[in-house]
Amino acid sequence: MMKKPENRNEAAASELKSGVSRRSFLKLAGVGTGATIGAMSAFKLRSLALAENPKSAAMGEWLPTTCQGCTSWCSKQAYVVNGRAIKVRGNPNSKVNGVASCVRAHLGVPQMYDPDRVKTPMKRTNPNKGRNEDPQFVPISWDEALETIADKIMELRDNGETHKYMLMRGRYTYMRDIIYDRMTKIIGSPNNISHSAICAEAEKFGPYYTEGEWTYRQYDVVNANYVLMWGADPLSANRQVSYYNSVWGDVLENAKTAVVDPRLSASAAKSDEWLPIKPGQDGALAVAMAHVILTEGLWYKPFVGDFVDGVNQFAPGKTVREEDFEEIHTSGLVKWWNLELKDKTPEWAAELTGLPVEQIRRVAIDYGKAAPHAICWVGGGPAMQPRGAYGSMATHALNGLVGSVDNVGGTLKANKVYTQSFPGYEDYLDEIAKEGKSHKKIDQRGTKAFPSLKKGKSGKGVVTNNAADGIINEDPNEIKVAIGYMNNFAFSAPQTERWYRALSKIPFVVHLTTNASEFTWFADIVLPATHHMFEKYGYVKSFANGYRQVTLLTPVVDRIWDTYTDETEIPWMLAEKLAERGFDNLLRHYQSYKDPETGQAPANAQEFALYALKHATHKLWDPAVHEGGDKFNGWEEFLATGVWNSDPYPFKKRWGAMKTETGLFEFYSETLKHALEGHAEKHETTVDDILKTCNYQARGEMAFIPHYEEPALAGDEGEYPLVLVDYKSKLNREGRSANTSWYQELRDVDPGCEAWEDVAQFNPIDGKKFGIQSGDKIKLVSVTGKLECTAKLWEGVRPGTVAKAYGQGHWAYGRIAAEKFGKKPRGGNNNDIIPADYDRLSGSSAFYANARVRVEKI
Amino acid sequence: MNIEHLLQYENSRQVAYQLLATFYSLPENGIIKKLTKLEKVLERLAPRGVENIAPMKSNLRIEPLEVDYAALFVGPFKLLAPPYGSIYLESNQRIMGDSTIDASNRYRESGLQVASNFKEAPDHIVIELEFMSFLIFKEIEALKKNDIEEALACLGTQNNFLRDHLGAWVSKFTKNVKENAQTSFYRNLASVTKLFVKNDYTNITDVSVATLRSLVVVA
Repeated sequence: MMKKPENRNEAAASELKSGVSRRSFLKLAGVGTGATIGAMSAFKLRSLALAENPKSAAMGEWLPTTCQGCTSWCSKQAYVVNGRAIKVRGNPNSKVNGVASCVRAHLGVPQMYDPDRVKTPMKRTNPNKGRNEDPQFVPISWDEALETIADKIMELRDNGETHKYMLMRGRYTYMRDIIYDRMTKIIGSPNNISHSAICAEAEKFGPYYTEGEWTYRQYDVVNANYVLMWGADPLSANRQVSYYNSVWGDVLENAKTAVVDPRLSASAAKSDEWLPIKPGQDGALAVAMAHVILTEGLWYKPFVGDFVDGVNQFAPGKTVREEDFEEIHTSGLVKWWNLELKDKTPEWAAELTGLPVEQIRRVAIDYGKAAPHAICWVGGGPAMQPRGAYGSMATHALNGLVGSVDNVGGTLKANKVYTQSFPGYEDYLDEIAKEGKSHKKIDQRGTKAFPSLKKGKSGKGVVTNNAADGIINEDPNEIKVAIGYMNNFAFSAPQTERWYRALSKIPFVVHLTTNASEFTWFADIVLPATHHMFEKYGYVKSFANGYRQVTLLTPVVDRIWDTYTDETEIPWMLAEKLAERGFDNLLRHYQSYKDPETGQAPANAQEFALYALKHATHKLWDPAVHEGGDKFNGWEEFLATGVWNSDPYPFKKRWGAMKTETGLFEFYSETLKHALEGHAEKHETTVDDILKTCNYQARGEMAFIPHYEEPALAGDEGEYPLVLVDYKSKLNREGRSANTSWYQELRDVDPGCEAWEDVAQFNPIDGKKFGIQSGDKIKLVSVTGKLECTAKLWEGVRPGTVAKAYGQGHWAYGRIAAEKFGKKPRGGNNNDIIPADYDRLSGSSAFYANARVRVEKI
Repeated sequence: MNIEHLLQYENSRQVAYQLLATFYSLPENGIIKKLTKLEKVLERLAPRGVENIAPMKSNLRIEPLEVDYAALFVGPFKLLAPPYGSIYLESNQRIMGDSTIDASNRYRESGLQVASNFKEAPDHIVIELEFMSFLIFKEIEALKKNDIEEALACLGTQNNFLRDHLGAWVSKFTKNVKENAQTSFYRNLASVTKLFVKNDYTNITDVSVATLRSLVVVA
């Protein structure tokens, strides 16, 4: 007898015993003909359940999110089919990046689907920590992990040692304050340490101390007549790469472009002029350009002003009387000329920079003639060096000379946005927290040797990389409990070996991360974090094209593994555990983040994450409280669109109203004078003594003007004859993408690089000099470390330098990133050979023009 | 083989898949008991695998097993033996590939989906092993109701699933386990898994289907 097969779904459903959850396991029991068989066939499935209707369309749909593969922070859409993200594109609703995408965005998909991701909480079982100690992690439950962490924090609170708690932040969204600021403060510690000083803080120094804006800039390239890029490679890295790539064809057509870089970058390869400068000499070129612009009478008079009698008195070597020049929107031009510029001729600069006099003069004149639509694009190159504060000022000051600041075709700040901060925390600080918070920070910011003058205040900026020394030396105190999230300081901060020692020394380290990394190697507990681009809620702000956007990160797919969100859900879950232990201040604070639509307090981690986001972006999506920019009819519409765009840029609004001491663009920085004097006063000494302590050459009035400082290279030229030129690979995703096969297969998108290789690039002249051929396995050795990689002879590097991209050299990231996991990295990490040095005025780590190296064949 | 024998045979298969699935989950107490059970079904299904059971029982301590389990199948660094089909069936070393979606579609065709509290990719070894045990269960139920067509259909689904999924990657996977395991438990588990799954793929046709057809002819 044959029966007609039933509908399979119904068949399965009929096998479900009542009371079993559809979402959990399936209990199956046989209908039992023979007694033996019937009894034996009852069993349960742990991994499978009855099918429900599919959540996402089988045909696929584009869902909004944001790429954080670099700080461009582009608004994106992910194409999701059957719950799986297939590909990405730019969000067409974005006025900043539009549909454009750079290569990095596409690497987000394999990054999320990396089999080596952290999948579940884990704990270390090997009590010994060190570079050669396998942590031997084993899976644990979220409860066990969070309870262990909560116990450690309570121990600090019980002993009045909350200042020995530390939070390290790497990449972030603007939900960051929940974990970075609020959690640290309410626990009672001053030690929330961000990554900013290994990013590009020095790049903000020049703009702040000339025009009063501690910020990155956007560049109105489509209206520019000249774009001069200093150590910036906008086609590969730096900000809003997708936007700039999308308009670069027009830029090349309408404007002259020039790149100052010892290496032929992607942008340099497309530009009209490449100025292969000697590393660290950007300041010399900048002041010589200023000299030419002034002597040639090319400054932009409607912004800067003019001589009272209209006759140009700027002549080489000759001082000018201040009263003879009447400035309009600037301040201190004549002082600058007399103190610094008058003798800084192209001939003087040619010797230092290694550039031809004619090229220096030509670029300066062409740039000046393009005023006011002439951009000096200041990247990390001239700024993130020892003494880089003044390189940042000197290069950015050229924008002031040609009146491109805040101008059409010029350099702009960010547009106004209307996001709001999270609810206040002061009421939740108890006495323990207040006492703990009052201690000094572990990165030693604001000490005599680390002025870190963010926004004009001594010690306001972070000195990220120095935190390692603070921990090792227990100065100002020891650290007992540390949490890091979306960071990898043991890889991304120069002189990595210090971080190995620092992290080994801390008795209890927690790492919240998507992928285990070199930092995780030293952790006691690892918590698996959701992938930023596809699995979590958050928002970021970014700007270009004359607009600023607030773009949402949204969970476009279901989480595959047992992951939670680092900045929102995990702090909430930890707050619950702390509350169970009698300390409920943090949980009560988080409960004050109410849903703006319903007024409901969050009841769980997921609601908290959502309400916090809705609160922060409330004024963007609620028409009742709208203040500007795109308008939505409510949260759902904003969420579906994924991005809010600001109003267009208000050009020239800041002319005469800059946030400097004088309100003007300062060539003589009263603002910096004030800040330096404040720091000197704090340490009861003189500005000159501060400058000496911090290894700057300037003395007296020179400290307050953009000027040339010699590079400070570590290593003797005889022993280390080459200068390292570090740069960022186009594929980097900030060092987090090397474990994807696409990263390795496509490495040759960077000029002069090779697929599946990590090459150090030498000019063929140096190849001959040092007996190096392409393909040779080599060692690069500096005063602080060594790395192994492959040699490549290439004309695109200046003789006397060796260029190498940052990104490779992982020894603990996963199957692809390391050649032999845990033992041998694929290629080498530049930070192993870059000494931990600083631009101390900004607190920034030096990545450029500070490492001399020698090459050895293996 | 009569119908009762066939039912017992199929039941052993189902139990074998079920036990293997538990061995690829985080180790917990009760392993010895389960190993004894596995030994019993192996005697019938893959006798050569019996010799692996004793070394699996020796020196059983949960902690080293957990460390080994994590390094092989969980991470958090380089997974030594990724327990995902797509890693072996596709070229780009990712989870959630087309083959994963295909596995997921097979579950759906059988009325199932990955349980929401089982936080793994759909082609995880535990899910594929459990799916096989489910298909065998359905087959047994059909047999018990004398629904031969349905039983044959279930066997066909099993055959195709082993052909396209579990059976297609079990060799490479178990090779990784064998080469990287630090414990005798997982080294031998790898051998047993490979032996059983490979045998079973052949036996679906040679034993189960053949027996069933002969019984139908007899009837």
